[in-house]
Amino acid sequence: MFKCVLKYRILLFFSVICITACVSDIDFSQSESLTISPTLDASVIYFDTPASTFVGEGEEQTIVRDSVNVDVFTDAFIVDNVAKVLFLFEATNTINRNFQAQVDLLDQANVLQHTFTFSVAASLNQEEILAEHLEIFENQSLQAFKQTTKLVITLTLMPSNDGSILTEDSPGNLQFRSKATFYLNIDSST
Amino acid sequence: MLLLITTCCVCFSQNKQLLYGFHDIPQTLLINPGAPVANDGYIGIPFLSHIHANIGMSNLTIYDIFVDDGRDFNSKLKEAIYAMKDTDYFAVNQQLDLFSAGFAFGKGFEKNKYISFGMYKETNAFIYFPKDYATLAYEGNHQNINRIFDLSDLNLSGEMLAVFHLGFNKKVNKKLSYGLRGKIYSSIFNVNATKNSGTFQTTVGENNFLNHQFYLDLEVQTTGFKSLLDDENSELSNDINTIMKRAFFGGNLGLGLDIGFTYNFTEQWVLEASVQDVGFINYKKDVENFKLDGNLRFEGINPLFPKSGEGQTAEEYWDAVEADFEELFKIDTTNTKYTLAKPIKFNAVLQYAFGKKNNKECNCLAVQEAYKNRVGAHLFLMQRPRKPQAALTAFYYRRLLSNLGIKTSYTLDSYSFSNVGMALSANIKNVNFYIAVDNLLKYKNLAKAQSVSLQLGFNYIFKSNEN
Repeated sequence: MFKCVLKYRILLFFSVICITACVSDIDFSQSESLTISPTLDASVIYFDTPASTFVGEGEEQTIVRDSVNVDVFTDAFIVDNVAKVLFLFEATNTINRNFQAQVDLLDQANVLQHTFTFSVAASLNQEEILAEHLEIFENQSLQAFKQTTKLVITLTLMPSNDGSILTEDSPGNLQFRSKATFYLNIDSST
Repeated sequence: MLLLITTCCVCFSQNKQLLYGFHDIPQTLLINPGAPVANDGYIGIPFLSHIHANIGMSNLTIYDIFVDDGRDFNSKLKEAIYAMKDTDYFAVNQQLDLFSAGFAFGKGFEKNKYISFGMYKETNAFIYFPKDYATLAYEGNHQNINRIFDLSDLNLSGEMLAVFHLGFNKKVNKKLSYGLRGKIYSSIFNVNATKNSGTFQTTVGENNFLNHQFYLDLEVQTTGFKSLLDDENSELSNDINTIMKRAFFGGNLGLGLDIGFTYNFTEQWVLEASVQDVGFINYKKDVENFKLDGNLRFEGINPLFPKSGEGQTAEEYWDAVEADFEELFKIDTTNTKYTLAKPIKFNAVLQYAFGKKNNKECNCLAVQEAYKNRVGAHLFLMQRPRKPQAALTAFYYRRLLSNLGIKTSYTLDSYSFSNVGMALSANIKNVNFYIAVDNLLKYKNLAKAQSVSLQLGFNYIFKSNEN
């Protein structure tokens, strides 16, 4: 009799565990509000060009220009998740001339979506003259950014104060560095 | 309750600390082929003789993330992610006996040899927490300049297979028993990505603000998925047929061996040890591997400002850069066969029996079975890609009645330091029933448990020596 009671007690104990085992205070629907906000840095454009770039066939070239195709900005992931973009440009000039740098953002149809310019001061004694420009893409400019497939960089040589012109032998370089910072907001509910 | 049933069905850990050394249960022979045998024969009730499931997460519980405490979900998730290391893991192991049986034989009155055999289905998944990928996804590289993101953090494996086994056990003398079990593995699915390497790093550049460096050597090997996923007729019954064929030697095969012994130093001091799954599976049918391999340093795009009518422009240059990136992230698919060793499991138990039962009811084969109580220590080790999984258990076994044994255990492992488990085995007439549950302290709220494990089964026993 005692044995029987003991056996049933133990079976009862296991049954109780099985019945009382539960999961409480848990709300899985919270995962719907999952948001992650990483910040990505990427190198964009760089160059280091001598003064002679602005001389062609013995004559000064006032404007040099090149373009870069980019298909990353229109990528669905960027379009859906990027909340803000910063473009940081830094120019280091050792040429004795003022420059103006212009960056145009063009869409697939080569239509201008956004543009910005900044100036770089002349270097008198080949000391390094720094110029920085930060372009912030938010709201409307961000929409323009997300349609961009081509960047056009135009460097304009400004007239010198003393009337001198650049020649093949003019000293100095114009150095450019740039990076983009993408602020992402990846939201699982969208 | 439904959840409980689900949990029960998923609840047998690779570490069967409750079952090991519980000789009343015929399935102990599956963990130690050299365990003392306590019956003259048994037949496992088909599909019910051994149901084992275990789910475990080291360093994390469902409760940590999903607790309904009004705090922001994202901050809870972030805390959890930051607390985890790249050696933390998520593991699932499930075993289901389809059939099993055993019988004793030998000359003379005391049959000292035992054959056991059967087939079980096993599912395993083992996934390391991809720490650096999570950090990169969470923070990006902006605040992690110079940090090396280790891409080997992608480390996972999973498989489903059928195992056919035949074991031999011999009691050499009063002191020593040993046993062997040969296995044929018949793989149904496999996925393996355990040998990845590579880094991603953003440093201060030479020519530009930043230099991005990619070193990628990543591979995921799979078998068994391609034909099912490519299947043009998507009828489930066809897929089930394919899976059944694979379970019965139609897929990728492998061989394995278990080996174990029991040694009685004295009537009361006993050592038991075994090694399981020394073997391999050769994957050659229906293989599909995905490989990502390449190096790239990227500082940006360098416009050339071509003078009119001269050379390459940056547009062409960009096309080349784009091609580099496409090449870098191009996934190569191959069908190269591969062979994987099964992760080896090791168990050892040292136990002491006491409280002799002066009862004619027991004429047990194993000398030690004559004692009412046993206490002992149990070490479990299992090979894992990064470092072995280890668990140390202290246990107490008590024979309450001639046909009822109970075992409680306290386990220290990578999941927790407070895992208390309990198992019981009862013989009612010729039917043996056993159940083992783990992490009892967490049963009030399973979501707080880092691991849960449950095993149960029914067997028909011939002339159990316990009766």
